[in-house]
Amino acid sequence: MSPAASELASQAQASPTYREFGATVPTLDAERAVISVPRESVRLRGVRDSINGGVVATLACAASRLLLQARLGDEGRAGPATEIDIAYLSAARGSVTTFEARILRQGGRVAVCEVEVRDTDDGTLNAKARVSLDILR
Amino acid sequence: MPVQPLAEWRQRWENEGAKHLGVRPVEVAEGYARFSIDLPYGDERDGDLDFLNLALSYAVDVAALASVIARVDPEREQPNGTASLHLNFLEAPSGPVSVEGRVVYWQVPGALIEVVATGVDGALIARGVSPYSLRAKTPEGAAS
Repeated sequence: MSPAASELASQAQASPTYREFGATVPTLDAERAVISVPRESVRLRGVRDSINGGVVATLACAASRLLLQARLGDEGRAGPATEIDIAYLSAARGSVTTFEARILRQGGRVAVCEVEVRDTDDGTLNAKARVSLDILR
Repeated sequence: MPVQPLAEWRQRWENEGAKHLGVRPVEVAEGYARFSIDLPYGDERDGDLDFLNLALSYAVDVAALASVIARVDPEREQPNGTASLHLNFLEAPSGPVSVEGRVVYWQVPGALIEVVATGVDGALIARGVSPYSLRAKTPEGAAS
């Protein structure tokens, strides 16, 4: 991880949302952002004691925002998510769940990311999301 | 099916995690549920875009699920899980938000839930739809 990406990851990990879930950022570069969340730190549970679907959607948005900010650097600010489309494929019940975001398209004002949510124990795909975000200049 | 008494229903949806997000169960009717988000928090959470997204997304998720539970016939059907969610975030909330989930289509194995979040002045904060998976029960009571 570059020094700039490392600093960005540290800032993210200090935010209320990341702290809420004990989320860490093992990978952050211009191509992808990965957020890692231990299930035991998530109080909001869903079906079969999995991570709640709203939490999964939020962390997909957060991974997308982090990636976009890493790409923008000082040239802009990753704004709020404006749209999410997420398919829940299996309950997120792994001991650790990862949210891996990649850019599909980055324009001047809007970016679109794709996020895969996986159980790190066995690689099961828990959800797949497409997230649109504003770019603030 | 008969809807749970309000006090009992509220108790079911109250927990420490939801309280930290400011998400409260408000009312329920057949195929309908409403939650509120008590904003602003008055602390660092207000400046965290991801946290506002979290409160909204969680409230949307539970409103959709609660509307399904308030519609399901326990003799014939059972909830199986949220299949997907399409949600547009339209305005940043500046105060309390009301989040409604409403069943707009119901047919085993799939229901469709409409979710709408509005601000105190009626401003549309977010809107979406969520397909939900249902299972039929056999005459013996087991899900097919």
